[in-house]
Amino acid sequence: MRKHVPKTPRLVFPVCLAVCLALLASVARAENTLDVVRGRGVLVCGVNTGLAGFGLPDDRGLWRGFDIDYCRAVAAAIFDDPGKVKFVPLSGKDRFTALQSGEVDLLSRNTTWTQSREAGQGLLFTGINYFDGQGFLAHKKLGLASAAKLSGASICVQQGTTSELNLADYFRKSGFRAETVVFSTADEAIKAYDSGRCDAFTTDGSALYVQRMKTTSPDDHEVLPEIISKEPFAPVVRQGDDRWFNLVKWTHFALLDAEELGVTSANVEQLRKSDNPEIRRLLGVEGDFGAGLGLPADWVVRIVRAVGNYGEIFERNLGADSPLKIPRGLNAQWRQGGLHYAPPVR
Amino acid sequence: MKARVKNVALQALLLAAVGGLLIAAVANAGANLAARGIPTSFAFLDHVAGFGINQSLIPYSPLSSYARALLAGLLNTLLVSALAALFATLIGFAAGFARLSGHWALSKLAALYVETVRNIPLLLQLLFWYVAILAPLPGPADSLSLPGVLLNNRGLNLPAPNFAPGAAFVAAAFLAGAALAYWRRRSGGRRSMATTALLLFGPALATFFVFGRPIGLDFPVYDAAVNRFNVEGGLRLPPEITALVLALSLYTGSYIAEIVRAGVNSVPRGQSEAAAALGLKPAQARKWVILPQAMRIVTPPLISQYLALTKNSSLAAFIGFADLMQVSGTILNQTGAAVQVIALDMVIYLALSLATLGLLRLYERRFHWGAAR
Repeated sequence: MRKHVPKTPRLVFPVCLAVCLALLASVARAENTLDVVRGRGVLVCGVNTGLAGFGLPDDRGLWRGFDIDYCRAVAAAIFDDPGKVKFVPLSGKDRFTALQSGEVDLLSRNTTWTQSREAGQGLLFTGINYFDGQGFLAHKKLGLASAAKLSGASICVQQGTTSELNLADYFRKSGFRAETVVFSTADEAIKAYDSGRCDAFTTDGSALYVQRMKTTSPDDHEVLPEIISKEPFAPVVRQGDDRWFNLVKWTHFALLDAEELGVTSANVEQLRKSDNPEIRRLLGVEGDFGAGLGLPADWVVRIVRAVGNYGEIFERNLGADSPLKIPRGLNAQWRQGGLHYAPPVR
Repeated sequence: MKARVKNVALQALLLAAVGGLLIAAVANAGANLAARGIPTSFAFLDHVAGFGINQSLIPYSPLSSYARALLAGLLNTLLVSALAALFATLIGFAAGFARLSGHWALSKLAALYVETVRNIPLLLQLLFWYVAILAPLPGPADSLSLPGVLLNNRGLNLPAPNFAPGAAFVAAAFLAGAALAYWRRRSGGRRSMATTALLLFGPALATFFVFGRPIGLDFPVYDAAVNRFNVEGGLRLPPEITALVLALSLYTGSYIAEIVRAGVNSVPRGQSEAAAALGLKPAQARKWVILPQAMRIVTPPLISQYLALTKNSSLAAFIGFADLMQVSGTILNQTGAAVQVIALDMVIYLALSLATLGLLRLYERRFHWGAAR
């Protein structure tokens, strides 16, 4: 009797071979994110899943926030259209994997610049756009007044954040014991805190005020005065594409320089006629400083026309013109006692 | 014969192609990761973890290594899976039989449970139970208390045994006594319960007092002067683990109930009629005639339910329980070793599933249901 011989579909081997070759071909191909973005016609930006002031869709589904405006600024520089951005909401835990794998071109998501994230994870932080520090939220009725009194407490925190590590460090340093309850998102952490599971909730200072709004009665909770860490936020790109790194970094510097030189979304067109050589260079009237970034000479005009300068972005999303009313503090220009100091465009 | 050679050659070629693809993929991933400065080794496992885990079966502090953090997470996964599997089995069998019973209300109630719970996503149920447990409970200062037990929104605090030096001798004496009692019952005919009890507990009690009572109970206490935030001492069962076990057992229990119903229904009606004709009461018939036959049908799908339960326990991160997935998520984020951590997780879950499968196959074989039949 003849044994049954299974027939192999004719297509299987060619397909296998093609997949093999495709995999091999993707080895060590030099990246050029700018060309990829231009070809696609849209910038893919990794943002927060929802943090008022930094990145949150409004009631019409339009993304708004400080980090969002940074994405729009980069899109404006490339396409002269701040709308050509696709926003990908990412959790604290998934954000780096998404960037490393190429799912997003740029990560603009209140992400703290640390040595290991840069040196050990193949990431590059383009420049500090927000100086923050970690704090605690606690119920007023506890009458704590200081984080130093939290020994023995239960504390809710979001997973995959520097907050989780700083918390462990803080208690180790002070010799306290504390129970940390770790949730995958900030929303779940604040909900658990609000329901009494924890005595305190910890995250970056800016976010504490936002999260406090989500508790059932925000006035019953106080932000403790201690700042236990340095949290410098920066937009992040992959290593290995210097041109793209420069473009994102200089978009940030251009926003700062524009504020320093008094260039705003309202007067940018008119300032093109300015006599000030610094402004003339910034706005591309003299010289062509965009070329080195792969951008046209009027790249800064495009950016400022679309989203304004750094100060405008700050006030609109976080400062006086927003519900958060966060003072500029460390985030003021260096001439105003803050830490923002951008290299000149020349 | 020629066809056979061709067949083998084709198989070998396919195997080589798949193997080659795998090797190429690994090499490709390695090269690309290295090019981007992302770690490609497992060296990070020895590094200090630096984050806290609130519930651990082994001693763990932020100074422990990543490997230890993973182990703590794995043990938590095992604990939750074992507890939930036990409760799911009890609930499932009870509900399965209830649904089959002639009692109208009981049967409808069981049907309601099965159809409701089975059709609501597990994550939703998990979040529901977490809130349902947390919301009504008071803070630690106003704990609900029974002698030695305190209940609040940080968990159920129970007395915990504590062991002083000498406790090991008591344990050894108990084991020796138990072995003696067992041997006596096996070897001789009828023995009185009193002798057995004396053999079982006598040596342990004697050693206990000789060594100055080395085993005691550590009671949970709330004392604002010691710790105003939490109960100190004793053993604490946090609300996260309670919610997780509750949600997993109820969810899996509803599936097991259906499996049991199907198994029992598959036993021919003649069997229970024959049992009744022999004078067996319904409960006896169920135990000696129906269940042994139903179990043959029930066991394979039951195994899949246990496997699914173990995998479903990875939803723990949503309610702040430090299971394997939650801990490895943090490690992945901190070290950037995404490929390694996820590969480790996959290997661990696979090993867990295979181990469960192996155990239940042994059980099947013991009762001659499996391949050995």
